[in-house]
Amino acid sequence: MLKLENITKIFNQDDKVNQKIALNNVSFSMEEGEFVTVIGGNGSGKSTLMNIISGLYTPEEGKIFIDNIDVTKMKEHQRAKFLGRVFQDPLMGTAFDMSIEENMSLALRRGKTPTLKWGFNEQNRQLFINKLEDLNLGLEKRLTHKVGLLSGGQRQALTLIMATIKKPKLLLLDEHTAALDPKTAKIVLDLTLSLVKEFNITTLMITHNLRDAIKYGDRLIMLNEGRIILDIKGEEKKNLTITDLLKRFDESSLTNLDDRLLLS
Amino acid sequence: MSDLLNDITYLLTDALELGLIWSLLALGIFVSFKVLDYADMTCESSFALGGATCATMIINGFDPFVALICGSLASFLAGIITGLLHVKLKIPALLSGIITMIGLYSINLRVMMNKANLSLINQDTIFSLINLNLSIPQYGRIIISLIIVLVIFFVMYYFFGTEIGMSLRATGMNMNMAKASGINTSVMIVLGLGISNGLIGLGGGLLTQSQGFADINMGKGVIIIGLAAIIVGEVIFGKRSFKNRLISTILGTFLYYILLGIAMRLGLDPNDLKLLSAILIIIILASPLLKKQLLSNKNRGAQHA
Repeated sequence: MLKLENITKIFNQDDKVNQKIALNNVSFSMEEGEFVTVIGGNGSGKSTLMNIISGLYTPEEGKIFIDNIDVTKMKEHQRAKFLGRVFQDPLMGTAFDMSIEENMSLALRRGKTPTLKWGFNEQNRQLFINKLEDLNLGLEKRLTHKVGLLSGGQRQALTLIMATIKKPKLLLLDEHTAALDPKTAKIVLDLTLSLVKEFNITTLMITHNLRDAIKYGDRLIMLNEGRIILDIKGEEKKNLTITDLLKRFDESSLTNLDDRLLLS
Repeated sequence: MSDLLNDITYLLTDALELGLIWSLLALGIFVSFKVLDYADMTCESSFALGGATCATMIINGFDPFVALICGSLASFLAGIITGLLHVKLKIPALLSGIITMIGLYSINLRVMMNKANLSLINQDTIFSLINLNLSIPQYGRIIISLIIVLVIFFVMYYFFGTEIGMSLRATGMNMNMAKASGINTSVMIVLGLGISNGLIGLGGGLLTQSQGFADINMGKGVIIIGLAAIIVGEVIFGKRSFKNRLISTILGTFLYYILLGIAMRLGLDPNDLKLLSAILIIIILASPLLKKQLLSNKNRGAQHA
């Protein structure tokens, strides 16, 4: 499904002093339908990993395949047809001055070349209503309201629906509950899980919350200094506890474990 | 009493005539500044380019309608160049517009056959060709301009509701979201700047035909007129929906010329016009901030009391 081959990403490559190796020869692959959680401290390379997959950054070395298609040289908007993305900032996933249905229409057309056809139709409207009804947030009655009027949690829930309205080959979640209050975060996370399960979506989720990383998904990877230092799956992942995980941290001689990771 | 009434009628008809013509410019600036969120300075020269192209073509015997459309197309291309400078050569938005604006000045002079001013006296214009047999020629100009503005309004309303138009709006609102939705934002920026300047060039051409001459400096400071019209429109007529915003921009231009007419009648020196427009924009843009500060001061006062 997703395959990264010897990916290396270096920032400020020409500047010896400020040079930073964000990803160091990382190879990683995901099976169809797999749900992988990613943890790691600040600067461990987990965001870079996301941005390399989404096409925001191009790697210095290595290749990226999605469904055996080499996407390494594809631009961000060209890769969008494979990917559903939800960002940390709830404002980033939607266009604030457009209505809910306009945003959803855009999401439904992800990856298609736009034409001079009118932007929405009655048929899609029914689909949007059905999708929004599942959220139980009452958004189905507010199709023509501007997204800018919604709360952060509502916007994030909408972004999730938009990211999955056309089943993506890979769903990328970049700490998508980090900016929400705990209660809303839980609602959005539960929604994520039910969508992923219902449509059997291959998912890569970055989280700063160890508990979530253990509880959700069927595989867990940990990054440190641009390398994958832990990769736990199957039965081992199911029985994993926070204590285990912390012990494994020590074993892998972690040098850069930040407080936020430990305290969460 | 009837003198005052006459005066008001004159003021309103003048404002209507100018407001309609200049609303094309305001709509163009609306597309770049508001829809695309791109501070495009190309307009300062593309307005004159539209007028210059139009005047030269009419003088050389082309049909005034063809000349009007070609003026608009020329300005469309100017916008495309600004867009390409930005997305291909990564020149910052503001600078890319300024570069095109400066370069165009020379081109405009060439287009005007190296004259600073081209008169259309004794030439046909769209206003002389369409003879509505009205006792007051100004009314004829208003009706023709109104038809053009209405056509542009409906075309714009339709276009920005299409898939391409929505992608363009999304690009201006949230580049990240647009890219994640698979929209080629570079193409949208180039296209949007083309459309913006095409509208501005249309305005320049229409003004040239209406006033009967093109001037190399006719575009100087138009950005202030356009922005003032948009902002006045937004404040008075709202910005609830895209349709509402288009209407606000057109009515805002009309209102701007009413205000201007009143100021002139009160003895405003026309040379001070640009400064006053600039101050008007500052006041309107700063008003939310000022309001907030006033309120917080009041609250603080209440707490101390």
